[in-house]
Amino acid sequence: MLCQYVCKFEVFEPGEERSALDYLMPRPAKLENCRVCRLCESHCPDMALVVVAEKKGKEKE
Amino acid sequence: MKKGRIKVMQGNEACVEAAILAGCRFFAGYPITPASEILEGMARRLPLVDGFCLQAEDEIAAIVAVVGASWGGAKAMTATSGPGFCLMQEGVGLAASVESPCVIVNVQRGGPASGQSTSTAQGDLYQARYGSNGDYSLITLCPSTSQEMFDHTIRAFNLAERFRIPVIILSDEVVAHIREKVIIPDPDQLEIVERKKPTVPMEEFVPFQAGEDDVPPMPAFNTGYKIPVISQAKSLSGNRGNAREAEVFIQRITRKVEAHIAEFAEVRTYGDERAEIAFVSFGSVCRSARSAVDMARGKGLALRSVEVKTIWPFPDDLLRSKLEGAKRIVVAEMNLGMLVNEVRRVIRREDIPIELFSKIGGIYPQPQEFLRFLEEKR
Amino acid sequence: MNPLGEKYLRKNFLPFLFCPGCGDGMIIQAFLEAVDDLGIINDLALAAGIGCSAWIPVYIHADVLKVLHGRAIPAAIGLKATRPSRKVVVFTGDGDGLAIGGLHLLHAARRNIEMTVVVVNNQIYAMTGGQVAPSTPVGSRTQTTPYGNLEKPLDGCKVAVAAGATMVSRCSTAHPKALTRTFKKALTHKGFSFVEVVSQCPVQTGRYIHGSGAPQFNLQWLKDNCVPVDDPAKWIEIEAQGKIPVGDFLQIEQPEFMEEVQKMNQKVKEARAKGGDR
Repeated sequence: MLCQYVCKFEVFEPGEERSALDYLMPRPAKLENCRVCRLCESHCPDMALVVVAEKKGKEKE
Repeated sequence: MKKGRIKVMQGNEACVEAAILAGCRFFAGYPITPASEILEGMARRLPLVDGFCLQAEDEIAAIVAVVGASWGGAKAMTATSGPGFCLMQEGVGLAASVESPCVIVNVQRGGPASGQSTSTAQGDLYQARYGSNGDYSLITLCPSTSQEMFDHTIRAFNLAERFRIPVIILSDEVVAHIREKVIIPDPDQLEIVERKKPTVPMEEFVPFQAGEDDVPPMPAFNTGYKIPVISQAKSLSGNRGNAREAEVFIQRITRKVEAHIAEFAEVRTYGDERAEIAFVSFGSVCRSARSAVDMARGKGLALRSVEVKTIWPFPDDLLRSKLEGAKRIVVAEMNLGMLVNEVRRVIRREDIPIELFSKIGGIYPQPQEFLRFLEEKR
Repeated sequence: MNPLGEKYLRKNFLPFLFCPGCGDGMIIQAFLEAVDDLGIINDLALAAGIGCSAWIPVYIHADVLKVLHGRAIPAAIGLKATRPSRKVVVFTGDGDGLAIGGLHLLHAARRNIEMTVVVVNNQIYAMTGGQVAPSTPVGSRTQTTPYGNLEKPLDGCKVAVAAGATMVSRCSTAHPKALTRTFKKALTHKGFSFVEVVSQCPVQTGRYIHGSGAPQFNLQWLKDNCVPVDDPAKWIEIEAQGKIPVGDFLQIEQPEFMEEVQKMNQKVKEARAKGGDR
């Protein structure tokens, strides 16, 4: 959950869905706080997310 | 008789000559007596044909560089002696596991360990087949003359490309350094084999899946296939295999050679093919065995010398047929008994004595010693 | 899926086998950003040995040769020599690259053969369960130093410099953008480039040496202990404080090995054609 850790704007929260390897995935609960700094994207060890700036949304794998 | 030229050369020189003609363009080696001349010869010759010769920092670097070069698309070779061959064993297994064609020359010398650097021996026979860990198969050729060194080197490259395996040329100090006539055929007289390349595009290519002959096509790197080649036991896609996939993989890489022995096995007979007394030998000892046969003929005694040229996988059927009718078999080798075990395994007859004429310490067995052995051990 | 992953990952091998929070996945991302920027995916030839970091290139959809423990560099030399236009990158670890593979590092650097060697330094032998490595700090309790490590750690960057590497940099996974930038620099350097990446290993280094297996704790440890430094002369100061300096240490231009080989081949062939040099 490094995305949650590095995000300075509290965008992420532990989610309820599990990944393919059965880990609890974080979810972008407060998307409106996102400043598109991309710290989450560059710190994810699983390349699981990408910040899509135009739509101010996040895609998760 | 092939068209060509004649040159007097050492076995080691003949090896270099043949390698270049076979298309070898990458050599990596480490200086070691009595194989250094091969490294030196390749250092002189490869730049002239846009090849690359590396004196590596050790033998392990040499063999792994050869495997890398093979995947880079080149025909690659290394040469060493016993101590270096020991170091290379993990690399031999690597070549077998990633199925990279390559040629490894082991010019045997006295062992164990540093042994006798300038004396001949034949103590690496088992190591050539079983030196690396786990199950795998490969082919080992044993030259006894400079001409055979030349011929076997061409053959080694062809067999390596055909089966995608490391092929070992098990030479020894005598063959390496003896100077004798070699007929070098013109290039258009030589049959040169190239590895199979994929015929389908990347999206359809399954890297470790083979057809009937158990040998998958091999693309070179950077030719549009982007294939994962790992040293683990693998699945068809090249990933680490589970138990079942690993089993399938190991069976295939051994079967691809072992099921085709008849295609390449070579055992020759010199002398009277029906003589009741037969010598069996490999490598430089064959020379002396032949002279012993000639000497005995002069005294009215018929002998045959059976020479094993492709010693691994061991040519069971062919050897049995060459030893047909023999009532006494003497296996002559410069070790404490390795080939003799294979002969005994293959010829399982209570009524035929299979004796070992063993010569170690680095002194080459003379033809008269063969005849003395026959007398004394009667 | 992440578009970078969509473009460059070997999808039939996913998901990554790395532990949760492992730095290796971050290295893959940073490396792929560099590769994407430079557009060199078709020229890449990746080599690796054994260990966690050795799996990094396998997940990249490129030609990969993963050989024996410690022997990635000789394999890379074989690949480079057979086609010098290849972009050869070696992924190795602090054990694979500095212990068993140490000799090959010395000589490849000495030759200044054009390739990039990435040493992923997690200060432990992670894949085999947490044994001491040449980079493990003194006093650490690991599986093979249960009473505390008595050996001084080896500084891979200094070794590379002494051996003759012409580009040496250290990064960490805590600074992913700098990592991408350094990869780009290394991939365009004409000569032997050495990039050490200090990376978190929550499961082994984290639990045994730093006291916590939480990825966040270990990432924070890197942020606290890896100090970005602009001036190589200041490295020694940072080391004296017990911290790890990260940044560019060295970049010089020297004759590159394969180019020299080709020049020599040309000269020799010409001389031979004129009936000269035997």
